[in-house]
Amino acid sequence: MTLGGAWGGLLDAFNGLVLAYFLVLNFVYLTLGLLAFAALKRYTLRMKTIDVEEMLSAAGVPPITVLAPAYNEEAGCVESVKSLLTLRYPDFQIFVINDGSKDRTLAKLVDAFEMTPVTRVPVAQVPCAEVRAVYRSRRHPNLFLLDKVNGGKADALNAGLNYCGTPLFCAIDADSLLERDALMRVVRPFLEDSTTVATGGIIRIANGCSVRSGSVTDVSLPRNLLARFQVLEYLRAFLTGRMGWHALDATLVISGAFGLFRHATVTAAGGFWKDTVGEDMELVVRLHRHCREHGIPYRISFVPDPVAWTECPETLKVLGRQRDRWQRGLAQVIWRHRVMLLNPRYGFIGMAAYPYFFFLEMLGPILELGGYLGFLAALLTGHWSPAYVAAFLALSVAFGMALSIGAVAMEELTFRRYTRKADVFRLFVLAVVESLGYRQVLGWWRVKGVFNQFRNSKAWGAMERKGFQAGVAR
Amino acid sequence: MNDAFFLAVAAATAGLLALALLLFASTLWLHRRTDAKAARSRRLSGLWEQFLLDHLAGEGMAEALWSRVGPGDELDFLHYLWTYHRTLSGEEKVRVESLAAPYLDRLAPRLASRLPEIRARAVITLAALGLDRYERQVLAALDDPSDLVAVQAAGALARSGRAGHLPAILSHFDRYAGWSSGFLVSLLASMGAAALPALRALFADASRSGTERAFAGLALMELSDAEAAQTAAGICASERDPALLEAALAVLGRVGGPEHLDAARPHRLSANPRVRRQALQVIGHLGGEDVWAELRESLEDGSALVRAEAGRSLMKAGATEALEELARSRDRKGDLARQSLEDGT
Repeated sequence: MTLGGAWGGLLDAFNGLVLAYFLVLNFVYLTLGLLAFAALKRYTLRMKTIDVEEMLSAAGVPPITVLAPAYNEEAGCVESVKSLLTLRYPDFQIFVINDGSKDRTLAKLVDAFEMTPVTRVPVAQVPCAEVRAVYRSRRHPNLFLLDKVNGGKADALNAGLNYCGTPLFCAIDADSLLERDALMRVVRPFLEDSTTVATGGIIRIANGCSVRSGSVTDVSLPRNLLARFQVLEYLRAFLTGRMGWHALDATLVISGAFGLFRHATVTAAGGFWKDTVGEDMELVVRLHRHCREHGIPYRISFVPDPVAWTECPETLKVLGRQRDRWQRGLAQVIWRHRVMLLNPRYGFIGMAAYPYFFFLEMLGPILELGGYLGFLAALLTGHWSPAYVAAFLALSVAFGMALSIGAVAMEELTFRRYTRKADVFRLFVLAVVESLGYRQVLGWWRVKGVFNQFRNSKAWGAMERKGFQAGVAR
Repeated sequence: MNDAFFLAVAAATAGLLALALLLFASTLWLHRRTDAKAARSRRLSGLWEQFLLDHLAGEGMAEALWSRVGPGDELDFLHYLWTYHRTLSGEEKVRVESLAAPYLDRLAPRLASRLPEIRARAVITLAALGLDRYERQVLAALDDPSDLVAVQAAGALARSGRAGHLPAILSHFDRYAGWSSGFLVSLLASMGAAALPALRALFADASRSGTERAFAGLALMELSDAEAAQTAAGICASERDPALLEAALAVLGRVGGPEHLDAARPHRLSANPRVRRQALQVIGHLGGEDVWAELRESLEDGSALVRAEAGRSLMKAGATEALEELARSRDRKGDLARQSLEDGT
């Protein structure tokens, strides 16, 4: 050792902490991966057993209202709504909520769908900004448009809740492209278990896919490298992470791009929280609290087969803004509901799922970044040998690689959306190289997000959209 | 940091890399296997389709199709027939069942699979294609340890339309109680007219639980059974269970007559908003000008859904002018009235 004892000791202690974090995190990922694998295998078997169409062809399917908030969506709003109108489900309505758009979103929708003002009386009183008017389409009686004063996505969803007269509602993003049978598939947990209050579907990356008439007709990897990394990341996040937590009956996150909820339970819990950029996760966590605190039997689940396609960022700038926002949202939610942390009142959620998100997802990136710096410091000061640091970094890369390849394997075992051998092979290559820069950049943005949260930044950032491509299949 | 620790890290890395390699190889193998399975499925479908269609049209012999089912293809053939069977009716359905008959014994062992999903799949297929031969096994599946299998067995028996199965389905009601009410009601209703006597008996049986009787009532409503109306009226007069009352009112709303109006009216003031809502539906459906006053009162109900129903019921009861007068006011009742008028036109 070439450093003074105190400095060396401190470095050792810090790096030891980083090592412990690394081991715990990857142990959790590995465990979730194994649980997810078993759960996915059973789920695909179950899908072959229960015919969803047959289940829904009978009477008694619960009506659903699709809530689609829209802000400055003139470029794609008409196509998005046309796509929603083609959803295959026996009984559903669509509420597009124009959240005070400054562009021609309202005018375009009114013109395209022959919408006329109607009187609608709210069925709930969740606080939200003023709803100026409600329109209904003459051509499509199940299509409504709420025009309201701007209040943000959560506020728009709350406005939708107030006019939603169906027992279930499906919250989506304006740019989500739901597959035609998505509602049929995502409603299944509500049929199989009457205590179900929320279910999330899977979000897949539409970049690089061909879209015709509101449907993804050909699935392939995008050409953009950043988008490709995100495809892999989403596979890992949903097929491993979400499925793993679902297997433990501890689903804490349902994506805001596609979730199905029980209207009565959500309104009783107070609707969506407006003062957060993570309103999707916040609602799910609050539903857990609401049901447990009121002794209501409930289930919140994840189903991996109903799909919503979405565009992902293709530039570092936009991706960075998105990840900053996601981390801020996570930090807001986790901090807000910290009463659940290690609280036996909240069962497994409080004792395991919540600590995972608190320590490993919220604070973990700080430790991870600190770890890189600590290792660098140890290396530069000769405190640790290059061989040791290299070994540790190799272990870190190997862990990441194994988890990502595992996610690709699970995709191949189950849904197999990427049918071209070349795409599968590319996913493997991405799994190898993703730990050599991409993950580290993500970690940096996540650290920024945590610090921005505690600096009270409220920015959403703009997403640059190209729109779904009506391309020709390769 | 000592050598032992370094070695442990190196060993773990090597292990993970080996795992990654194994997963990589498995995925490639899976990819090829899935492609091969899909190709095989297409080949078999192509091989069988014309012969099946010919047989269904009465132009081809069953033997011509059977001769094209090779060893190892039997379960695929049964699945293929099952997918057709679901879409057919009458004589064609019977023909498909006779095509499946020689192969059902290959599927029967799957009833004992350790995986509930496999057992459930076997139950569904055997019930659809060979219920006469495998009725005992399908009924036994109602007692399967897995709720999934029990529900699928119940559904398969219900879809067979044989009323004799209804007591068995109902006696296992606790197995499906967690499923959604809409799904369970449709399961019962799928039995069709053959189940009416048993459903009526259950609906009227005061010794059974309110939940079971409610499901029976809702199934009778789905089947638009006029005879159930009198039982429903009796339930409205004497029972307190909210789920049962709601179901009885739903029956009256579908098949009740003006003579049943008074049975529904008191429930407009029930403590349960779902019962109140259902009562208003019946009152609006069966009543005329004599009910307008009470429906107007319900426009002030504490529940938004009940208020909305009151508006709709006023429309149904013919109170258009009254609604138009209310619509001129700027308060909540005015909005409700306008909404009801707009929806009614």
